[in-house]
Amino acid sequence: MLSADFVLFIALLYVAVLFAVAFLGDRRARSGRLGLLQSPLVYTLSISIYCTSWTFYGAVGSAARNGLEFLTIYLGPTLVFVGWWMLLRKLVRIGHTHGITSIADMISSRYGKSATLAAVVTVIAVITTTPYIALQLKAVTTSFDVIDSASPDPLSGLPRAFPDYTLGFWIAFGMAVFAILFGTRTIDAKERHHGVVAAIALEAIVKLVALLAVGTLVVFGILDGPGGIFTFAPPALTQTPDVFGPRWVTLTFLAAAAIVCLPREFQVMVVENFDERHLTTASWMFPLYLFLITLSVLPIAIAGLAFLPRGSNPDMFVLTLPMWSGHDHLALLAFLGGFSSATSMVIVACIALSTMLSNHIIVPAALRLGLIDLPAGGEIRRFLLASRRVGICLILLLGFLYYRLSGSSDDLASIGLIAFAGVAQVLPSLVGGLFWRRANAAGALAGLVGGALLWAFTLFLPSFAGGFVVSPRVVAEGLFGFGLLRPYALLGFTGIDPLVHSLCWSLAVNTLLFVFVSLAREQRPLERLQSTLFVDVFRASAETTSGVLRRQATVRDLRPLAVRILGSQATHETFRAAARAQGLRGDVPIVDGAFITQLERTLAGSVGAASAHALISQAVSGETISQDELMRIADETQQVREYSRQLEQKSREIEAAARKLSEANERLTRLDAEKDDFLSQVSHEVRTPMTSIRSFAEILLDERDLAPDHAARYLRIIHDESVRLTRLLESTLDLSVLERGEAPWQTSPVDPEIALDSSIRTCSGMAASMGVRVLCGERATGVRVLANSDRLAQVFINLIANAVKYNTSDAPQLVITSRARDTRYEVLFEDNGPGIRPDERERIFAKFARGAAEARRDPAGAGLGLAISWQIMRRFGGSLTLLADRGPGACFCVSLARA
Amino acid sequence: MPPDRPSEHEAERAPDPGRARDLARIVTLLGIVLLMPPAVTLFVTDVRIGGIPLIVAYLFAVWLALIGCARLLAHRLEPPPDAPRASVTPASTDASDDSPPR
Repeated sequence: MLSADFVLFIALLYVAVLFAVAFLGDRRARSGRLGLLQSPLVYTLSISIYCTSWTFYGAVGSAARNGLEFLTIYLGPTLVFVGWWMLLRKLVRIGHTHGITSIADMISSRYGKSATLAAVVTVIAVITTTPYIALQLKAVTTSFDVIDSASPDPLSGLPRAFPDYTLGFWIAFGMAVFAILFGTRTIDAKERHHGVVAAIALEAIVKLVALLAVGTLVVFGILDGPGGIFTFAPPALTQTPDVFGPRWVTLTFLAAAAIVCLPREFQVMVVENFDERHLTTASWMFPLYLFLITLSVLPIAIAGLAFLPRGSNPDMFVLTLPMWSGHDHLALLAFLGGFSSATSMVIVACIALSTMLSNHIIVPAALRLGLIDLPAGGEIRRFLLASRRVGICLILLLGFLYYRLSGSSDDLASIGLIAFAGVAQVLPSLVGGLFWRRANAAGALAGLVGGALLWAFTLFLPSFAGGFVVSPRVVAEGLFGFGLLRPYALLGFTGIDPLVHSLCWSLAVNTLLFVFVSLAREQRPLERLQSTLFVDVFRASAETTSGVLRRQATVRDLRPLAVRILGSQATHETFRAAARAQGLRGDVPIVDGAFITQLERTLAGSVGAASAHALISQAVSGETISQDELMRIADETQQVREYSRQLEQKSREIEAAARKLSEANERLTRLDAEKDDFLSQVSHEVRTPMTSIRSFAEILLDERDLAPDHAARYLRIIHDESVRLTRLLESTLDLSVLERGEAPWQTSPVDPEIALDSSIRTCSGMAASMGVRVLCGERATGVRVLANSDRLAQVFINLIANAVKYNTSDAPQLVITSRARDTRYEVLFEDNGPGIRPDERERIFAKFARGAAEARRDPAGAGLGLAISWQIMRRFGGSLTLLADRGPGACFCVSLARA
Repeated sequence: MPPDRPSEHEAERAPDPGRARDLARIVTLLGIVLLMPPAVTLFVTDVRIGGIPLIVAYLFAVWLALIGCARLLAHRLEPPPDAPRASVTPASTDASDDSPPR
C-alpha cells in the first residue's frame, strides 16, 4: 500500500513538471521557436482533452454496467473526424478568417454579431460545464482516497460517505493558478496558449500510456492473454442486442455533436489551431487515439467484475485492479493518468469559458453600465485580463460548489451525458449557420432558448433527484400536477429512456423553432452580411465586403481604442502593417472601410465579435450598411458560379472557332498557292505559242526574199499557234466563269443519252484516225436529267477525247456504258490505257494537271479540260469522279441526279 | 472499405481532390451505416473469433478500417501548402466541395 504522503508528493511533482512544461512552451513560443509545439501531433494530442476522467475511469464503469454502449462516446467523434472535410474544415477556416475566440463568439458572429446570442450560448456553456468540472474534481478526490487507502475499504473504490472536500478545494485552487498563469498571461490577438497546449499534450500521452499499461497488466497478468479475456465476461456484456437500439443511435449522435460543440473542444480544435493542414493529420490520428484508449476498457471491466469484491465501484476499477493484484506503482501511474485527464479538461474548459464570460457577459455589461468609459481612456486591456482571471476563479468555484452540494450521488457517466445533451443544443444554430443562408439571429435565439429550457426540464433539473426546482413529485405527477408535463414522459411519451426522450424533445423543438423563426423573420443587414461571409467562407473574401459597411473615423479616434485593447506595441504594428499595405510610410494608414473592418476583426480576436463591433461603433460615425452592396455580395457567389459556367462555355466556343479559323487559314494558304501555280502555268502556257509566233513573225519581217512556200509554212504555224492560244484563253475564261459561278445556267430536263450519242459521233473521226475502238456497252433508256445538253456534251467529248488521245495500248479501246439507278444517272468511260497513277488521283481534276502519260504524249495540252468538266458537273449538282481500281486503264464516272 | 479504394500505386500519383472528397463522403456514410442498427445487430451472436465475441471484433474492425481509410485519404484531401491560414481570396486554389465547376 502506498502512503498518502508519497502519493501526494508524486502528484505535486507531476504538477511541477506540468508547470515547467507550460512555462517552457510559453517561452519557446514567445521567442518564435515553436517547433514541435505547432506540429500536427501536438494538435491531435490537445484535441484528446475529449477524454476526461469520465473516459479514464467512467468508460470502464459504463462498460461494466451497460456493456458495449461505452463505445458510442468514441465512435461519434470518429465519424466526425473521418468526415472532417464536410464540417470541421469549414469551422476551422471560419475561425481563422474571422478571428473567432470561442463557440459563443462563433454563433454571435454568424448571426450579425449579436451580443444576446453570445450571452445565451455562454450561459448554456457555463451551466453544462459546471457539473462536468465537478465530475472531474470528484474523480480526482475519489481516486486519491482510494489510492492512499483513506477509505475503510479501498478496494471497493467507493467514495467515502463524508469525502474530504479540502482536497477537492486545493485541486480546484491549483488548477485555477495554472489556468490564470498560462491562460491569461496576455490578451493575444489570436487567443492561443502554447504553454497550455504543451502541458495538455503531455497529459494526453500520460493518460494513454497509463490506461494501456493497466490494460496490459489486466490482459497478461490477471486474465490469460487476449484469447482468454472473454471467458470471464458475463454474457450480458456482449450478447445483448438491446444495446443497439435507439439509445445507441442517440449516444453516437450526442458524442458527435459534443466533439463539435463542447467549448473546450472548440477551443483546442478551432481557436488554438495554428494551421488548417493539421486537421488533415488529426482526421485519422485522433480516431486512432480514441481507438487505443478504449482498447483496455473491456478487459478491465471484465476483470473487475470477475475478481473484485461484489459491490465494488466499477468507476474505480482502473485504480483498484492494479492495487488488488499488488502492482502499486501501476496504480500510481493510473492515478496520474486519471489526474491528467481531469486537470487537462478543467484547465482548457476554464480558459474557454472565462474567455466567453469576459467577452460576452462581463465586457458588454461593463460597457452598458459605463464601467469602461471610452472617452476617458480607461485601460480595457487590463480590465479584460482581470475579468478573465475572475472568470476562471468563478467557474472553478461553481464547479467546486456543485461537487460539494451534489455530494456522492450519481455515477460518472450520467453526469457526462447530461452535459453532452445540454451542449448539443448549440448544434442546430451552429451547423445551420454554416450551411443555410437564411438562418438568422431570431431563429437561433428561439431554438437555443427553447431547446435549453426543454433540456433543463426533462433531464438536467430532474437529475438533482429533487434537490433543485423539480421535486420528485413533479417527476412523478408532472408540473402543476398535469400528467402531460412529467419531465420523463412529456405529453405522455412513456417507456423511453430519459436521455433519448430528452434529446429528442429538446433538439426537435430547438430545430423547429430555429427553422421556422428564421423563415418568418427577415435578416438584419449585418446578419445578411455575416451569413454570406460564413456560408461562403471558401469563396467570398473579406476584401470584397469592405464596401458594404460604410463608416467614417479618424486615426485619432481609432488608435486610442486599439491601444487600450491590444496594447501600444501591437497597435503600432497593426497600424504600420495597414499603412504599408496601402503603400504609405510611417504608421498612419488611411482610415477607410477596409481598414476599419480589418481593425474590428483584430479587436474581435481579443474581445469577441460582438464587443469589438460595439466598441468600434462607438468610435466611428455614420455607420450604414449599403443595401445595394449587400445585395451585390449575396448575389456575387451566385454570379461567380454562373460566370464560371459561362466562361467555360465561351472558352469551348472559342476553341471551336479557333479550330475552324485555322482550318480556313490552311485552305486559304492552299488556294493561294494554287492561284500562284495557276498564274505561272497560264503564263508558261501562253509564252510557248507567243514565242513561236513572235520568232516566225520576225523571220517574215526580216527576210524580204523568203521563199513563198516557206513564208506560207511560217504563216500557217503562226495561225495554228494563234488558234491554240485563243483556245487556251477561252478555256481559261470558261473555267473562271464556271468557278465563280456567276451567270445562272439555263437548265431543262433533257435526255442525256442524246448528248452522249452526239458526243460519240463527234469524236468518232478522231478515234478512227488514232486507231481507237469506241464501244458502247449497256445503255440506259428513257432517262431525263436536269441539265444543259451543250455543256453536258462538252463534258462527254472531253472525256472521250482524253481516253482516245492518251491511250498507249497496242489495241486501244474505250468502253462507254450508261445506267439509270434509283435516283441517279451514271455514264462510265472505261479505257485500257496506262491509267492514272495513285499519287495523281488526288489532283487530276486540278487546273493544268496532266497525268504523267498525258504529259509525255501531248506536251501542248493545256490541262484544263478535266477541271472544266468537273466544274460543269458540279454546277449541275452532279459529279465527275475517277473510279479506283477498275482494270488497267482509267475509268471516269459522270453522275447526275434524275429529274 | 470504399468501393474503389485507390491502390498504393495510384495514391502516389498527383492527388485528385474531387475523387478523394467523394471517397471521404462515402467512407463516412458507410461508417454510419455499418455502426448503426440494423447493421450492427446482425453481429450479435454467440460466435467467437479466437475467444473474442464476434460483435466486439466487428466493431473494432470497422473502427480500424475507418481510421485506415481516413489515413489513406488524408494526404489526398490536404489543402495545398500555400493554403491561406488567415485570409482567403476568391482566387484561392483550394477547391472547396461547393466551388464552381472549373
